[in-house]
Amino acid sequence: MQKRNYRGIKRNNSPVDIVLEYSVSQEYLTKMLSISVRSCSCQKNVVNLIKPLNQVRYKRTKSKNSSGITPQTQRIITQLSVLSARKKQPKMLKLSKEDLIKHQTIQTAWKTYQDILKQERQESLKLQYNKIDEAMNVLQEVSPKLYKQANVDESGKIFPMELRVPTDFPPRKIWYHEYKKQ
Amino acid sequence: MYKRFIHTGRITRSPAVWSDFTSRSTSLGISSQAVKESVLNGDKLETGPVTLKRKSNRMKYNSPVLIDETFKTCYDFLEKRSGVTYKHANNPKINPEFKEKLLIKAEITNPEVQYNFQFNDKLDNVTSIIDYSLPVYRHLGKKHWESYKQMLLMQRLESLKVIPDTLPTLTPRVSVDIKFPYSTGVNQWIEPGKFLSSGVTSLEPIVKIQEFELVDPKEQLYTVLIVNPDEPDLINDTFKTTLAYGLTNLKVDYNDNVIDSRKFFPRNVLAKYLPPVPEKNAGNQRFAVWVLRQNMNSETKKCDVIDNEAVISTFDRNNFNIRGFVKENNLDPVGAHVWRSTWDSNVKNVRDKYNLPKGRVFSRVRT
Amino acid sequence: MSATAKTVLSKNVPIRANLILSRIPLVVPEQTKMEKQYHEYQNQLERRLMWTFPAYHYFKKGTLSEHKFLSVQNKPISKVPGVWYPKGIPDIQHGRERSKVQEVILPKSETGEGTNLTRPVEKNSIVTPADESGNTASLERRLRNTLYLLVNYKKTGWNFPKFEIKDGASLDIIAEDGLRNIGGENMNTWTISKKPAGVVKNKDGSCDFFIKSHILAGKFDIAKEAKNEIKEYAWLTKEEIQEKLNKDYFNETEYLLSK
Repeated sequence: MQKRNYRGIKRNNSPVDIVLEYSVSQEYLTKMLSISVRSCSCQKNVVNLIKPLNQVRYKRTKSKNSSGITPQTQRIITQLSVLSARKKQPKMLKLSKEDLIKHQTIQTAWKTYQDILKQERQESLKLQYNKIDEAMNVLQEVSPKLYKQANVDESGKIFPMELRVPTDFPPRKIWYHEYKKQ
Repeated sequence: MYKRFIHTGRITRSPAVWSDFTSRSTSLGISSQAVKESVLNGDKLETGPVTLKRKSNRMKYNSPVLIDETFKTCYDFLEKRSGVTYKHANNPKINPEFKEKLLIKAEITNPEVQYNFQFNDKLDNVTSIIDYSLPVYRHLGKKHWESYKQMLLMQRLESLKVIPDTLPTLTPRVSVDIKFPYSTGVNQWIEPGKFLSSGVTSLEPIVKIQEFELVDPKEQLYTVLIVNPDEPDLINDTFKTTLAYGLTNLKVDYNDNVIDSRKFFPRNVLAKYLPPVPEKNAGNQRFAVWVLRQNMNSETKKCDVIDNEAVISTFDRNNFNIRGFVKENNLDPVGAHVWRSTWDSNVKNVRDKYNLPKGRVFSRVRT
Repeated sequence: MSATAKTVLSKNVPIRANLILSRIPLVVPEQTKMEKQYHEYQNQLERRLMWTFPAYHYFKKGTLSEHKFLSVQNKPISKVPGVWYPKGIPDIQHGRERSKVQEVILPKSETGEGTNLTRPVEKNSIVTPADESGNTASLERRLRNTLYLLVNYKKTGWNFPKFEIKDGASLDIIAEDGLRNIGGENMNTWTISKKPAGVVKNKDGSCDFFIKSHILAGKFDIAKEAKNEIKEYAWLTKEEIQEKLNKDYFNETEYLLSK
């Protein structure tokens, strides 16, 4: 058997070529294979075991400490992984029949309640608008001068910063009494 | 608003509307006591939800946290609102359509009603569970039908061109289902547009007419016509419509609505059933089942009765003018169905059974 | 203005600018039982359906903080071949049992007091001392409700502050200046709009226009010049105002007030 020290990139993948390259007889090859097969105790994969001989060697891509990937790239990869759902999504929530009905009831009740609140808000707003309209009409009749002064365009007026948004709990200093006129 | 429920000195207990079955039908509650307990009070037992049959599944199951308490509060909230709606509905001065709407509104949020409807057979309904005489189940049934089967039917009617070829159009208000139990022994509802062999259609079908609207089931009468618009008319080199089956003056209940041999008598038969016997190479034949409401007299609240003997002379079943028939008798098409038949080797036997003449064999002719 | 019923209002009708000075709530309204339960239920559902915490991103592999973090977590039941799992076979990814809510436990910091992120939050009391004493002149009471300024005139009793119109000034300026005249300069207010929010037409023909504004900071103190007209003042909620004003007048002005 003439052994060839074979390294480098193989261009042709056919098994026949490999056998020729090694200039080894088929019988010898199958004999070596059958020994290895017996040791593997995996009779089925004899044909597949020819494949390892067929394996092509490429350039080194993944080394031990993944030194191919720079830290910056690794950071980006981690960030993308954090943003993606892969392996982070929990199991789909499957409800039994009773629980499904209960959940649906809860949702309809909430929706109904929110609709009621919204309806009340809308009615209150409508009432406020109509009252402003009425007041302006009366003002126009009674004092056109005051009406003109009141009827300016106030679009773009925004709430002042000092108007504190209500919170769940009050602050330590509840009200600033010490305000002095500038 | 829940917040504004004013507490008086004498605590006014909110009426338990949904657990009171003295004036309400029992189909508005869950019949199985175990399931009812499980839904309304939550399963406190370690065995898991009752609706899961296998013990292994029951053991694995974890229900969402806090669902039972939240459900109870929401249930009370909805029940209270339902009580208010019932009070409005019991006002004698309102008109029936509005009353029906209120009755639907009062019960549609009831979890027991939702359970009954979602998890039981809607087509072959058990009256003690789904009772279509109640407005809420009718409404739910209608929505369910509209979500799929109505669209499927209209698609089939339009793509098979049943709609312009027989009657001009249809606004479906009634769900129509057909079955051929006599000839096959098979208890299967037919999908619209399905090809049925001559053996299957050799005996008459049964028709299930499901009404969703508010009609008077004791007075309203229905007509069923099965027409075949694809009978070859060699003389005129076109196709003609034939009447395969005709029934008139049928009474249909909301629940008991399958028109089989138990529901009608020979006096209801306008035209006896002649099975589809397509001829070879004559193409596929469509068989359109039309369900029509007979005219209801608004003053007398009585339905017009079709006198079969008088009417028979006005039409020829071998060249049936369906549009004329419908117009003359003041019929209102409310539902339809369709199946298709084509020639197969068994047609000869069906012809022999009904003493029909031999079928012709057509062939392509170059013109 | 309707052309049919045109009330001939003479241009010499006495006009007054009334002020609705409100202190908006400082604390959110109280949640109903249903709201609380629903929010809790939805929170639990959200936790169950939440993505697994990407500990590999926040704690770098092999560091001490990662070790501390992982040692504090409850480890899920791992899948071992040959074991019968009656509650379902474990499905673990990134250290989380997929069929359950993930519980992330933060390790307690060892050094210093303020470094502990997990120390409990001290919640301030919503019921203030002013609430308990019932001091209606204080702005620190009834933090969940809107408070409105009501003034006890010696002649006419409890009412919203009223001001006669001056020449040249618009209604909102009249209201603001009038407020400063009776209550002192030390108030930061913000008028919502120049347009009146409503009108009350009295039997004697006079018109009361209401200008709404908010008090942002400061204190209302009865000024020396106003001491002969005004006995006292109070910051009251809508319900308390209902008790103070007479029934008809309250019905006419109810829409201006909110809970």
